[in-house]
Amino acid sequence: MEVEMETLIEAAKDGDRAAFDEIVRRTYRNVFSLAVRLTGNEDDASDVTQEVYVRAFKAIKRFRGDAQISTWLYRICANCSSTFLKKRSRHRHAELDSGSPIADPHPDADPTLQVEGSDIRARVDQAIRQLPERLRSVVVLRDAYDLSHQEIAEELNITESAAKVRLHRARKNLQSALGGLGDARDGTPGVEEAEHVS
Amino acid sequence: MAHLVWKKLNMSADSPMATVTDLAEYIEMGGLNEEFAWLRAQVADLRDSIIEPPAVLLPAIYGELDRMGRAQWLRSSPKWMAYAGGIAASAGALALATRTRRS
Repeated sequence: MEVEMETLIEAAKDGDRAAFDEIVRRTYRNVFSLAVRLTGNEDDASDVTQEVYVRAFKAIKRFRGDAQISTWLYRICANCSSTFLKKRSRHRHAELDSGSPIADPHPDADPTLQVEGSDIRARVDQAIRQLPERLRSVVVLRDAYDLSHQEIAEELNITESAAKVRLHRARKNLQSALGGLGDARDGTPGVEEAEHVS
Repeated sequence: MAHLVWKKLNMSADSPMATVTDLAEYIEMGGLNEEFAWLRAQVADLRDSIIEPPAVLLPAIYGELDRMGRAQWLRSSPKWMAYAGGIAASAGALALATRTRRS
């Protein structure tokens, strides 16, 4: 029988490394999935996920249990991703300044890339990947992972107002990118509209 | 942007609520949320869509935690233990170098 998560957390707080390893095993797929959605690619997401658990291990004693541990890990992931993307952005600027050839290592971000298949979820996922990083993180954390505006603002180091404005812009961009796939009026996808999306 | 949204809502931008903060709160509290209801439902579904991590990730996380655990142990150990560890490591390196030279 699987040990309850609460029991594992208490054991991990007391320094039980095996208990923490089990928490990692149960949660790392979800954390990695969020990291992919925030960073836009799997290599960066792997680095971010490792950093999440290093930070979590250091801070587990301070986890109060007000929220679920998954939400706590998502918050750490949001913060790690934000830091990682800022560093990557600075690094890229330095590379461009030094005259390196311009090459996009993330072909997924190519706006001309055609979305294949008819699966709506895949289209939404693709549209999210093509959002600018600052908008993508907010809409993913709010609408997919249900973090509050305050939590998002704290982890991304922005104001709550900025988080809300970015969220609105992200949704507008997504709606535009999906080309009216969902009917905005009655909240259900229109079949005819869906068929016209390229 | 604020003016466009207020125009859409058929409200005056001179309203006492018309600050970016209030406007954003209004949007979040439902002012325009229904416009995005379908979109939000689709994005929410992504949470259940797991992206399978590479097989090396879990061992890599455990390895990182091992390294951090060792570093923490060294920091929290008495100074003489750290010195002893350092001396042992140096002696080992010296022995290895000597053996390599002889061979």
